[in-house]
Amino acid sequence: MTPAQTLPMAAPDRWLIVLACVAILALATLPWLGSALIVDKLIYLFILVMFAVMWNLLAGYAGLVSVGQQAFIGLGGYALIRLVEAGLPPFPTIFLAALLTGIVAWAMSWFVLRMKAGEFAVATWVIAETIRSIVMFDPIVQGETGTSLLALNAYDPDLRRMVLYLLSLATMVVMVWGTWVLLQRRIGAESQAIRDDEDAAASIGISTFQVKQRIYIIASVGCALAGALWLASAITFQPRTSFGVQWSVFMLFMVLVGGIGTFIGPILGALLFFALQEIFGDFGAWYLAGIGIVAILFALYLPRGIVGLWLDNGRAEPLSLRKRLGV
Amino acid sequence: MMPAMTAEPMLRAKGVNKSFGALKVLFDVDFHVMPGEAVGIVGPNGAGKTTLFGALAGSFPVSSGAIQLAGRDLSGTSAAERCRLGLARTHQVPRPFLGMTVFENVHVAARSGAGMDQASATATAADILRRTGLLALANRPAAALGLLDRKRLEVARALATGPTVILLDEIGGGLTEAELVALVDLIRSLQAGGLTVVWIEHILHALLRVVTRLVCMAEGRVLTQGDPRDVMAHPEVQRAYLGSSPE
Repeated sequence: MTPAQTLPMAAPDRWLIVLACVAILALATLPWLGSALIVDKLIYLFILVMFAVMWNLLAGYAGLVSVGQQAFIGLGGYALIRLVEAGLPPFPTIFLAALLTGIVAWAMSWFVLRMKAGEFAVATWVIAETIRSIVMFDPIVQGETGTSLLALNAYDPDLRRMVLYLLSLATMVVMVWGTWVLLQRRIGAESQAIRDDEDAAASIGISTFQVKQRIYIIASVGCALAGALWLASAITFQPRTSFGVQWSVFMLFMVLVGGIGTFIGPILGALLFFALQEIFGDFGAWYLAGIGIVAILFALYLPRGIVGLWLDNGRAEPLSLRKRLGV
Repeated sequence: MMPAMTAEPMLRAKGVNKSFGALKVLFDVDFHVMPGEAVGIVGPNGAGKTTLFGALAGSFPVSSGAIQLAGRDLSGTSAAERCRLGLARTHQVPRPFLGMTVFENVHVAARSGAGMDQASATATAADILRRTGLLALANRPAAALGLLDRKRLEVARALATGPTVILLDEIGGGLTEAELVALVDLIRSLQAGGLTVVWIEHILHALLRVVTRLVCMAEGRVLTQGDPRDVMAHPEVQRAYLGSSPE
């Protein structure tokens, strides 16, 4: 008898990956063809995808429903401002800023990960607000006024846009692919076990705190990286915007509307959110109402998100991470 | 050839007390299991049987007393560490990972509890699913299982962690006679493979086909333990089961 094995990836999924590779290559050539406006918009889309994928890793796969990831988005940007101010070159420093933010996430994890569900969510938010208040005391930041990443103005605007675009595209691809690899590994299955039942997870030998801590730090470094990239594209750092709770609202929207706990859901959610912002963005406050209405409609009619469209029709979830035994 | 008899129990509770706030639930529980032995735990509801399992498996710290696994003191070791040391448990109310498939539930237990790589965990999980009668349901979501299959999954998942001692908590309830026979056969074959078994069960005729020693608990204390017939004939056990007043 041949030893039992898991089934290989389904054919449609393999085609989907080929398609994604083609799309990435096409996107990589775009800055030579597209207008500056399109390039800027796409940088924002890539950043949205990063936020959605990181929040899904945290909440969808490890059950850590945080509403305070803006702490790391803001700190990523703030660290970038501070390090560039100290004379470091802006582009490579984006990554250094994210890694340094990881140290803050590590320190916070000892405290917040001892809390459960609602307590955890509230604590992450409170800490994000606290960090924002502390950052506002920095003389460079000047309270509400904020500051700018002036060093970037030394570069030719077209070159700067191109570098930032390619950097964001590459970071997004690595982040999405890295999440895929991570979730296939032991830690991926362990986080899902913890999400489903933490005590039962411990009873089968899972070091629950350690697993949650790793996922929390990874997701926080990912948010910091996306936050630093966003700051580099927006240039202006304002504590109220960078540390704003609206980031958590955006992440929740993208992940829930796309399909929480599925791999492809958050990416689809980010695309939809981006499209909604493009369509309704000019209507001011109405845009927020539109986003709210879409969220309500999804909660009522498609609680499993866009991915639910496949599942409700009895079709396999695209790019599912479920391991299937060949029997 | 028989290995030299050692006096070292596989699992031992020494003077274990447990209180939850003002409520005391375990009183000086002394109990041990020898390597490869199968011991049954009986007693009326609320006797502290499941709490004892929780204390043994490290779900919470004991208030006083000690728990030893193969002579090693377990105080200060977490539930996860105890599992990796070879002490596995099932839960009275099944607690499957509902967002995962049946196969994934067992697979992750083999990876985390027994430290196996992907391929060996797959082979082990498939083998255990076959032995527990869950193979045909391997790729179903665990959330789709009924209570009986969830109980099977509890056993399968605990076995996948590669235990030397398994704590079984009322896995026989609700099974048909034929299913009970299959369950008894499974546990006996595991025991024949060297597994030490501690089994809480109300279905005595199934329990007595497996265990060679019985521990009877009531009101957080060990009433008596020893040969199953002696234990069941013990007047206090009769009283505890019949519920008459001890006057």
